[in-house]
Amino acid sequence: MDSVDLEKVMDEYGEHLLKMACFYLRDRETAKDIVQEVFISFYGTANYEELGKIRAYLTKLTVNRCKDYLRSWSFRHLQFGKDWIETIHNERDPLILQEEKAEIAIAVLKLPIKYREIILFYYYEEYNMREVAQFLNLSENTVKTRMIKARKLLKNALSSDYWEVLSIE
Amino acid sequence: MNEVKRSLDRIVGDVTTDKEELKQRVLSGKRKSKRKNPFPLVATVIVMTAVLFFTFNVFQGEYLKKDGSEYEVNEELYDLLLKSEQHEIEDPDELRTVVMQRLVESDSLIEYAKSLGYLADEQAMKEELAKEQQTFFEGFNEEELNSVEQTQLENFGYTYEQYFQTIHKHTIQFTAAVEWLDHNPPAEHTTQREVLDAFLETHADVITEFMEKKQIPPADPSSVYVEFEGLVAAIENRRVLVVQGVEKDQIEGMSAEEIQDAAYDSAWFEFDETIEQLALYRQINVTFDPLSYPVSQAEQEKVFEDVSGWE
Repeated sequence: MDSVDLEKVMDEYGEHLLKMACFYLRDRETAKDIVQEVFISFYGTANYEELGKIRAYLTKLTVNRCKDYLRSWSFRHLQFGKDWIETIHNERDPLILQEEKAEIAIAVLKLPIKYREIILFYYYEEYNMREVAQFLNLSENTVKTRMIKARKLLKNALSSDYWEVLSIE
Repeated sequence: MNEVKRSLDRIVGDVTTDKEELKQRVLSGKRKSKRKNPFPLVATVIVMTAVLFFTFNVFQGEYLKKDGSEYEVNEELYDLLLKSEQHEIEDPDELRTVVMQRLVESDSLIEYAKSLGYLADEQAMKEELAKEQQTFFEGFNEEELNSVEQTQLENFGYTYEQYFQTIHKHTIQFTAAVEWLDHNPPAEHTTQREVLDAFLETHADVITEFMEKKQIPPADPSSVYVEFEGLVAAIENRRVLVVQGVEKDQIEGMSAEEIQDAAYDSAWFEFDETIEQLALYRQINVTFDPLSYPVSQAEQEKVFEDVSGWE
């Protein structure tokens, strides 16, 4: 792969990967660092054309690196910046947030990671349960159980109007 | 597009600028990630686990001396850990007690491993420390370094140099001892609680003196036992799996491993004959000693053996 190919891949998938990393890490700067690592790692992949679904492959790399980071000492102890969710809460106009229906996203992003990722892949990536299970290397039963728990947590966190929207989707 | 997706897209906003910056970073040859802290190990193991060891050898006093002359509390480490944990525990008395307890726990482990024949490879640990410190700092330019150091000082009140040379050094020593014990498990069945009690007894004079000097309140004896409330999810011989965050209909038909994966939290307990009164899927509140697991389980799933009661 040459730099032209790499640029094409970054153009095609960069925004998606940045968003996914943001949803996992809740920190834009760290998300950029993680996705940078992913692209650098991908650059060294000789047979990238044979990888098939590049989007899924890159998403998997990103998710795995995000999880590694969330498990790391640095995430738990080095406080480089303010949590993105906290920033949204503190610095943005509540009326605008309401208009944007941000309540749903904030509730999702506040979920513990094992429930959040199920919601992300089911609703955001629009995978079905089996695809979520395959992607995350979990059993389908586990995914279903986590989905039930996630929805229960969201129901508690959301006002009834928002929950109704979510519950019928 | 569903409402969840729409909401998430709105909250994350436009990432075009981020993408362009990212492209520049990658394509301009700045391939070294700016991520500052890629520690591969569980570096805070001394403040997150209660791993306590003791064995026959220690009771025999072959390694430790009853007069405690071999043991000295690392005051610098204690002071830094106080700062490190200040955001986690607000009450200053509780903070001092907890930090002291964790410090003694990790010391007891290292000393115990040595009592079984563990010889610390000082050179290897020194090299590991230097490597991790280098990895940490190499992504920074001078301006970033100053900024990060300033943030660290504001948040914790000590420098990265102090962190590496004192806290992380001790963490590496502790981790090395844990790994050695993992490969050289003790023959005698001993629980973590026994380890702690014996260690405190052996070094009572030194520890008491340090606690008086630092005005560290002793741990409340009633805090030895804690409670865990949940659903009885599995019964295997005399062992009971209690889980939180799932209902009966969500876990029926699952293996114990799957149940634990799905549950919000879980724990195994060793019961006495009262286990016969237990039924699957009932709610239970277990009172137990959180250090009552065998030392051989330090690195794996724990079974708590000292259950003082349940209802």
